[in-house]
Amino acid sequence: MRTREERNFQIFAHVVMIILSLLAVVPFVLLVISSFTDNDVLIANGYSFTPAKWSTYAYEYIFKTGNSVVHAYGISIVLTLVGTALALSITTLLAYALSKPDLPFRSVLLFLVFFTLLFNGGLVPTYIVYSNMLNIKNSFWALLVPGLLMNGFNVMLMKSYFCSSIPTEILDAAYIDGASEYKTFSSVVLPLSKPIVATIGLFAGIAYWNDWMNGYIYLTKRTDLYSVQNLLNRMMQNIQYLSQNSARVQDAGVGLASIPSVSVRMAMATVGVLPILVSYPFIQGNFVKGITLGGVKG
Amino acid sequence: MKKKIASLLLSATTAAMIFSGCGSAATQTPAQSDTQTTKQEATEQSNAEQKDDGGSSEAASDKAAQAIADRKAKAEKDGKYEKVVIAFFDWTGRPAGLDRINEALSAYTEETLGLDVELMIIDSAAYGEDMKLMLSSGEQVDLFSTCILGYNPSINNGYVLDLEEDGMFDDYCSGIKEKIRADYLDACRVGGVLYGTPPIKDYAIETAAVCVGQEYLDAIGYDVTALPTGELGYPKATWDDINDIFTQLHAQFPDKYVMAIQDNELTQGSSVDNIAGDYFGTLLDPQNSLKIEDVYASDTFKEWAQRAYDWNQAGFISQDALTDTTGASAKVKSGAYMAMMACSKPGYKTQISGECGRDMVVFDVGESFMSSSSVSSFPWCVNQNTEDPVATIQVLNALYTDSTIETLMCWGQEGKEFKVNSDGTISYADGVDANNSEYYPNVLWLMPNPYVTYVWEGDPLDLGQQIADFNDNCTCKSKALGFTWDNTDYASEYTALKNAYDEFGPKVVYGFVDPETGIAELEQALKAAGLDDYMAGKQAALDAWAAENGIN
Amino acid sequence: MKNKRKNFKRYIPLYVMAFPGLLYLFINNYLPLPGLILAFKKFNAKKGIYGSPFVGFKNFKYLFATKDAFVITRNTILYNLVFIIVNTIMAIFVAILLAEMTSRIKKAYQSFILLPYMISMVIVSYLVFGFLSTENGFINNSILKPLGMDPVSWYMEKKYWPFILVFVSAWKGVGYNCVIYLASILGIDRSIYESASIDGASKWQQIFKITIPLLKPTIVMLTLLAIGRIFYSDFGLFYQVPQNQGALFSVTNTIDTYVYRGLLELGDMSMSSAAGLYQSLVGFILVLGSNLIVKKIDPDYALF
Repeated sequence: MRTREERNFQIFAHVVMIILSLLAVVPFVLLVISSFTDNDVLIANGYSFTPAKWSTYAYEYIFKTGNSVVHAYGISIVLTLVGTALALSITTLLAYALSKPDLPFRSVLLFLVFFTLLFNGGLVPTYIVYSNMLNIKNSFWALLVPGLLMNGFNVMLMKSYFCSSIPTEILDAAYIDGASEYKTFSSVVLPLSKPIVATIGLFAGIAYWNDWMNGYIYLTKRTDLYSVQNLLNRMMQNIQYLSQNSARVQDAGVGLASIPSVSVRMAMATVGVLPILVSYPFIQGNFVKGITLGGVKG
Repeated sequence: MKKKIASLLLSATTAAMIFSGCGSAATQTPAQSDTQTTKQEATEQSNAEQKDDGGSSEAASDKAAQAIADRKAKAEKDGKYEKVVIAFFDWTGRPAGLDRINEALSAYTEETLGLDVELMIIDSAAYGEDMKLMLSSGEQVDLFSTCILGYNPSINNGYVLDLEEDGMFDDYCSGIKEKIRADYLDACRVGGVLYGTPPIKDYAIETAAVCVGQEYLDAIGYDVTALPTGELGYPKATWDDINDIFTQLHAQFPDKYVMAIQDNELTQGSSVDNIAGDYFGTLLDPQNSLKIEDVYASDTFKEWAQRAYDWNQAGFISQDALTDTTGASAKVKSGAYMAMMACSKPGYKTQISGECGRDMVVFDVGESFMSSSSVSSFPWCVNQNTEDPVATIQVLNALYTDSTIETLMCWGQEGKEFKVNSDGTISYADGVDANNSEYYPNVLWLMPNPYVTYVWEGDPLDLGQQIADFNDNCTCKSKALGFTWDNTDYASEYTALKNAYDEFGPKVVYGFVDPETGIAELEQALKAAGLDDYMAGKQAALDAWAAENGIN
Repeated sequence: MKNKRKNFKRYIPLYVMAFPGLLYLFINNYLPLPGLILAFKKFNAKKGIYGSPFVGFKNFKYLFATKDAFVITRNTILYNLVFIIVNTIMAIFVAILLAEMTSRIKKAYQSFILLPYMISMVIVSYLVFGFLSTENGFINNSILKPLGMDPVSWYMEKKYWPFILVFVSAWKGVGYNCVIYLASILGIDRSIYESASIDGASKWQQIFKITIPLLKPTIVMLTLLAIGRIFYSDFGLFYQVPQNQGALFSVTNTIDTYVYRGLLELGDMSMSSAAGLYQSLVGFILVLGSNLIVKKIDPDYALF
C-alpha cells in the first residue's frame, strides 16, 4: 500500500518535472540552433529547429572581434568565485547575528536591512560614492563590490532559515557547553545550514556571473577587465546601435553587412549561459560538500 | 555648366588644402617642433584669412599665443603639461592602440598648444550612461560629443559651458569661425547662448530615397534610364512610378515581401520639420511659415498612411512588420525583401549597396531638406567643470583646423593604421583591416572636421566640398533653423504623448489599419494626452525665439 | 547589574560578526541615500545634486497628470498580485516534488528549470517572437495550421497577453524561486515525517499537514517582500516581450514602461528619481501595513 503510493508519487513527480524541463529546454535548444543558423535565413524564414542553412559565422564573429572571449571567461570565473565566497561569508555572518531573537537593537538592524530593499539613492549618488569617495573605478574592485557583495533579500532569507530550521535547544546546549559564538556558528550552525548556504551561494554566483552593469559603468579604460557578460552585452548593444545609425557610418558596407546581427545575439546568449549549465550540477555537489567539510574542520 | 566649373575649381582648391594639410601631418619632422615658427605661421594664416576684421583677430591671435606660451612656461615649472580629455564614442569600445595615439597626439600638442591631449573613447553601448555619470560627478572630461547624450538634455542638466563666456570664443576660436558658417553656428544657440559647435557634415538630407535591388528590377525588365536624373545623380521618380514598380515586383516574386517598411515616413520621407526634436507639433511648411501644426492631422501624414495601407492591402508588407525589429537593410540583405526607403546624400548608393549586400538602385522621390534641428543634433561641448576653459576651447579650435590632430583622431598613425595612396586617398596599412586595426573608430560623421584630413579610398577627394555644396544648395531650409526648446515644463504632456503615439501611431504608419479610423484614433489619443497644450507651449517659445532673432 | 554586563559581553561577538555586512550596507546603500532628494529638485550639474534648486513635487506631476495613471497603476498592481500567487504556488509545488523525489535525476531537472532564469529578457523576447510571429511563428505554422485553424495575429490581440505574461514570468522564475523553498524543506527535521508515516499519514497528508505549514514563515516573508515591490515591474517582461506593441498597451503598460517611454529622450534624472521614490514609497507603506497585520496575528512571522 505504502510503497505503491510512493511509486505513484514518484511517477507523478517525474512526469511533471519532465514536462517542466522540456518547457525550459526546448526554447533553449531553439536558441542554440538559431545561433548556428545562417543570419539571412533567420531574417527571411524566422527561427526554426531545422534551418535551411547552417552557419558557424556568428561564433567566428564573437571570437574574432574585439577582446578575447577566453580572457573574459577567465575574469568571469575569478569574479564569480571570489564574489560568491565573499558574499556568502558576509551574508551568513550578518544573518546569523540577526537571527538571535534577544540581540539588542535587533529590530532596528532588521529594519535597516529591509529598508535597503526598497530605497536606493539612485545611480549618480552611488557612482559618486564608489568613483569619487572610494576611487575604485577601472579596477577589479569595481566589478566585485558595487551592489553585488550583499543584498538585503539574501540576508532576510538566511535569517529566516536560521530562525526556523535550527532548533534553539542545540544552540542553548552549545552555549551551556561554553562554546564561543564563533565556535557555535562554525561547528553547529553551518553544518545544519547546508541547504540555505547552497541556495544563497547559487544566487550570489548567478548574480556575479550575469552582471554586466558594474563593468558598464565603472570600466571606461580597463577593457582587459571585461567579464563575459560585459563583453557580450556591449557587443550586442553596439550592433544594435550601429544598425540604427547605419546611415552615418563610413564604410557600413564592410562593417555592418558582415555582422550577423540576429544569429550573433543567440550565439552570445549561448556563450554566456552554457558554461554555467555544464558546470552547475558538478559545482552544486562539491560546493555543498566543501561547506560541510569547512564547518566540521572549524 | 558654369556651376560645374565653379565646383570643379572649388574642389581643386580643397584638394590642395587637404594635400598641404596632410603633407604637414605626414612629414611631422623635428624641424616643425620649433614652436615659434609654428605659432607665427598660425598667426599669419589667420590674419591672411580674416582680412575683413584684421585688427580684432590679430588681438585674438595674440591672446591665443599668449595662453599657449603661459601654459608652456607653467609646464616647464611643474615638469608636466596640463591635460585636456576629449570624450566620444565608437562601435567597438576603447581601441587597442589608443594609448599610442594619445602619446602621439600629446607629443604634437605639447609643442603646438602647450598641453597634453587624451582621447577617451567609450563604446556606443555605454557612452550615454558613462558620460552622464562622469559629467554629474565632476570627473575630468573636458570636451565631449553630445551624440547619444543629447544636446538639449546636456544643457538642461547643466553639463555644458557657455563658449562665449568672457569673450573666449572670439579670442580663441577664430579657426572655428572660419570653418563653420555663422548661421550654422547660430543654429546651436539655445536661448541665445552658444553651448556647442556642430561637427562639419551633411546637415541636409534628400528625403524619400526608395532603394530597390538591381537584380529585381532586371527581372521585371524595368528601364531606369527612362527616368530623369536628379541633383544627386539618381533616377528621379514619382510615387506612381514606385507603386508601378512595386506592383510588378510583387507579381514577379510573390514569395518575397516588396517593402521592408519602417517608422520613418516623416523623418526620412517628408519635409515636415520635427521642430524641437519631436513630432508633437511641427512646421508643415518649414520654409515659409513658423506656424506649429499637428502633423498627424495633416494631408502629408494622411497620404503616407494611405500609401502604407494600400501597400499592406496589396501584400507588399510582411504581417510581422510591426513586431520584427530587424533593420530594413538587413532585411533586404537577407533576400526576403526587395525594397526599402531611407534618405540619401552624396555617395549614398555605394553605402546602401554595401549594407544590403547587393547592387541597389536609389530612386529619388523626395526633395532636399534641412530641418531646424539638423545642425544642432549633436554639437561638441565643453564641460562646465573643466579646469582650464581657455586650454579646452583652444583644443576645440584645433580639432576643427589642425590636420595633424584630426588625422590622428580620425584615422590613427600613418604606417600603423593607414597608408597614403598615390592618388592622395588613404587605405588600411599593409596587413591591417577593420578587424585587426588598433585604431579604427569609424565615426567620421561625429568628428569635428573630418574634411581637414585625408579622404578614405573610394570617396572623392573633394567630398568635403560636395557635402558643403549639398548643404548650401538645399532647396527647403527650415526657417526655424537653430530653434531649440527646453520641454521639461511639459514633461507630463510629453510622456503621455509618447505613450499615446506608441499605442496608436505605428499601426497607422505600417498600414495595418484603415487611415480614416486609424488617424481618428491616434488624434483622439494625442488630444487626450495634451497635444494642444504642448503645441501651444512650443508655439510660444518659437514666437519668442523668432522675435528675438528678427525672423518673421 | 553584573548579569547585564555579562549579557552585553555575550553579544559583542555577534556585533563583530554583523559588522562587515552592516558596513557594506552603509557604504552601498546608505551613503548614496541622500541622493533621493534629487526627486524634489531640478538637477543642474553646475550646482551639484545637493545645490540644485528645489522644485517641490513638480517632478512627480507627470506620473499622475493623465488618465493613463489609472491604467498603468492598475496593470502594475494586478500583474504583481497574480505573479505573487502563481509564482509562489508553482515554486512550492516544484520544490516539494523535487524534495520528495528519490531518483538522482532530480539534480538534472533542477538545472534544466533554472535555465530560463539565466537567459536575458531580450533573448526571451526573441524566443517568444519565434513562437508567436504571425508569418513564421511555430504556433501559427506548426500547431494551428495542421489543425486547420486560422492563424492568430498574436501581437494585435490583447486578450491573450495577460496569460502570456503570467506564463513567461512563471517559466522564467520557477527554477529560481523553488530553490528557496527547497532549502526550507530540506531544513525540516526528517524525524517529523518518520513519526507521521508511522502514524499512517499518506504522502499527500504529510505534504499538506507538515511541509506546507512549516513553509509558512518563508511564504509570509517572501510575500511581504514582494508586496514592497508591488509598484515596480520587470521592465523587460512588459516592454521587450510584447515588443512594445501599441495594440497591447492597455494590458501591458506599467509604471516602468510608461516612464521609460517619456524619459528615454528627456533624459531627466530628477524625474526618474521621482518615479523611483514614488514606487518605493507606496511599496514601503504597504509593507509596513501588512507587516503590522502579520505581527498582530503572529509576531514570529513579522519582518521586523
